[in-house]
Amino acid sequence: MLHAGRRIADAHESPITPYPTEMNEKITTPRGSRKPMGRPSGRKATGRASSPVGVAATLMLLASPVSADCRTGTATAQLSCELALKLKSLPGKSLLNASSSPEHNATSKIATELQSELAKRLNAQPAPRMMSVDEATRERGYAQVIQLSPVLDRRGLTLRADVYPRRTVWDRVLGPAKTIASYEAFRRRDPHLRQFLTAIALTASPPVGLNIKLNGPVSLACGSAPIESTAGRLSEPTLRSELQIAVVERHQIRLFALQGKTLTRLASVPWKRLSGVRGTPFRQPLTVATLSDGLLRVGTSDRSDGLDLSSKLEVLKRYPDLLPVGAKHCAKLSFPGLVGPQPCESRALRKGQRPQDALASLQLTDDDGTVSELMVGRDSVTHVAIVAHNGRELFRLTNTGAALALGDLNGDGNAELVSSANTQLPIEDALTVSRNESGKATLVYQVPFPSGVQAIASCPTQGDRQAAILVASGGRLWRLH
Amino acid sequence: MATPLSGRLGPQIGRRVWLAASLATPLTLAMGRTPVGGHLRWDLPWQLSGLDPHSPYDFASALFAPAVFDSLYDLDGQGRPYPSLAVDAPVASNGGLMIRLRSGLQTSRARSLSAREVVHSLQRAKSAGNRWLGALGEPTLVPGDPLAVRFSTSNSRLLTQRLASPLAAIASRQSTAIRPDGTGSFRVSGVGRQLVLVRNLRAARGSAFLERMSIRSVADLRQSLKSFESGSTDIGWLGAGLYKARSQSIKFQLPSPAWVVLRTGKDAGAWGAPGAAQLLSNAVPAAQLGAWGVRREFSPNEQTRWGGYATTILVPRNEPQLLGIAQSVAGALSTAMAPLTVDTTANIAAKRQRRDYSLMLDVVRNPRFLGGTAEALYAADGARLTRAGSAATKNEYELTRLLRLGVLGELEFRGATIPSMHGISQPAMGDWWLAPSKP
Repeated sequence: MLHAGRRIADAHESPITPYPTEMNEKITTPRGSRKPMGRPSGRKATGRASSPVGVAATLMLLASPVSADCRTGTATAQLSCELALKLKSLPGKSLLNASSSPEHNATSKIATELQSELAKRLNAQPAPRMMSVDEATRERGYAQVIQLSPVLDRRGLTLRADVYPRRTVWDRVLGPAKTIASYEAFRRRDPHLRQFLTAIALTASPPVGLNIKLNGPVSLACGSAPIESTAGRLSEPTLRSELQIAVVERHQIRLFALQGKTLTRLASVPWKRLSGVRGTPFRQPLTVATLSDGLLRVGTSDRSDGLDLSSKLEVLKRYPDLLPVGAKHCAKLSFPGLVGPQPCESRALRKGQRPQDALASLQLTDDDGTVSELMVGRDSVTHVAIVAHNGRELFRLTNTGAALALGDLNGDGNAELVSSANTQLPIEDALTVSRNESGKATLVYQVPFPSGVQAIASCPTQGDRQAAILVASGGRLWRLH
Repeated sequence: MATPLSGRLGPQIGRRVWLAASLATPLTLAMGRTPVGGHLRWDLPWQLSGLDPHSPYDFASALFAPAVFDSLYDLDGQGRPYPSLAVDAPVASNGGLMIRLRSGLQTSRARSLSAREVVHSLQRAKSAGNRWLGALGEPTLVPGDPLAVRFSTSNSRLLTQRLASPLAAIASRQSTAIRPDGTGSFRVSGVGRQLVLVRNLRAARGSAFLERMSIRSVADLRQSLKSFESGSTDIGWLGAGLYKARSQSIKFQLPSPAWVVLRTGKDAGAWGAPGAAQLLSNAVPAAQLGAWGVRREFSPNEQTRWGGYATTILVPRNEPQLLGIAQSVAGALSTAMAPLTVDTTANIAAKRQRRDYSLMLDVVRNPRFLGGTAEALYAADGARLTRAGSAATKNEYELTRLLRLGVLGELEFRGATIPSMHGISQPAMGDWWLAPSKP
């Protein structure tokens, strides 16, 4: 178990998302409502409540900054707070209606929670039952309907709120209801949301080979697809099934989309186009890569620059002489490993630090909503892997191989450590999953890889399945669930 | 006649005997990383008074210079060149070819490496006797680019193949045989009775896994084998022990870095004619040579014996293994009428230059590029190689029919090591490295 009061929220292997620090909100205006906004198409502006409300709401939403007051508390509290701030200028009383996704019964519970939270903050009344939009907009006594559509998956909670004007009989004759403003936001899964999700058993599954040939892989990274590459509207895909995989080899980096068993190459770039060879490389390369939402942070002892790369593998940022680790940190080469992680801006080596020859990270959300990272590093001499949070040791695993990954494989909020065996003989190699039980590493399962484990990555959880683990072995890429 | 041609003229695996896989070699079999640290001790019956990467006649340099120096290119397992200190393949420039050095390179003694060092090193290598570098044209600096060197040749393959030779290693301008200074995985901290190599943290292709190697020059091969058998050293040269094999020792064999040759000089009279040296060499039974670590893969059944006056076979002083080989050769070629004895000299370079001897036993390093055998042997003899193309198809024993030196065989790089020395027994991995399994 992690220490009290701190829970892991996401199974990304060191993801970086825009979500943890800021609401990723999208204000959309429906096509028909542009001229004039909020008015049913084909009708002139009549001075009805719907039109001025729609125009006012949309303008107000576009102009509102994200409030810092809403960055504490549970994810539902934060989303309610943000939404209330956006919608507080709505004229008249609003009806809070909710719809839930069929994938999760929990969604209706969350919708109810959101309704009651919002009712406290707005001049609004929760609908007595879940109604269709048509039904809700017919209700008398309200100026507008705020239609809440929460979607809960293992990544977190996506909330979409659509504002509809109340509609008269005449409006209903003319056509279906049109939104006058929309609001979308996402919050990473936190301990509160996790209780709505069903637990997943951690079990070993036979490795499934993926259709890709590897050419000396030195590192793998797995992350969720960037938001931009999905359907565009956050509320539509309830569970994003696409993962991205970065294969870092000695001469190139390749980025793939993984859907089911199918890998599709998205981009590839030779290293020599990204960075020159380091003046003093290591004889055995040491590479760190993290991928999340299309941002690949990668560094290798072969090359002089660590890099942030876009989903097209274009250089976004360089870290000369450093290897980016996790979402924000960097490590520095010091034979025979890395020292750090430390802030990328800090150039000084931490004195007394022992070099580590493998590093991996995992982002987590605390109970107070802040996001931080778990790190695991393998001591290059003792071969002990220590999982730590903010420099404080959580648990350790002795005699660990040099391929490491951290992941919340079953979505329970606790980190599992995925590691290779500490052997020089491929035939003896295996993938080992261990978890923290009261500060001690406990073996969960082991899967032999007689061709040797060259690199490991843990993917974010998808749906109700155990998160995928990727293994580079014998020139192929394997997936385990 | 079975010829040992195949696989010899072309590059073989693992030129860099002390080095792990290069930047271009996929090295991803290790699950735990290769352990680092450790001190390797070794007794060797060869002189260790200095390391000269460019000397074509020094066996110790053939063994250890690749650990201390790098070349601009290297060859992979298939003999294809890839950049090592160079940043990329040569590019056309003013009718010739231009090569750029990687930036940020430093030698083990913290000297920056630039095009000046490249030009200096290649000129030094050529003047040391590696005439085959002349085919590349004179390397020149490129104004305005301190890392670029231009060659007059336009043959990119020829250029990269020859620059991949360990004899074309790049050294700092201050580097000398007793104070070598390169970019290899080790730096030299002492030469003389003992060669001490320590890990070079500025290595251009990665520091050594081992912390240190101490190679002691011993008076004979027996002493080397005995010290390994008794456990006081970690490598047994040419064997696993003097009386019996050390328990759990692992044998290894690596590509030969040099040939041992018999030269005929001015004092040999009629026996100094071209081809005579090879006839004499062929008459030495392979079995006698094998005991001294000389491998010849064919038995010519040659009955020739020395027919000149009683004379000596000259060998360099303080080269015990070479002395042992010379004694075998003398025994095999002597007749009652013309006995051969062995003599040593400290002034071998001058005598070699002037051909001031009857017979001389010498070492010629293999430059390890396609056609390099002919080039090296002709250069060692001082003869002009006019038909390099046809010469490239012949083996070393045929090539020397026109020379005043004969190839006795390859000097083997084999022996045994302790089980905790990881990698030495795994050349099949594409290259091999030397590291302790337990630091």
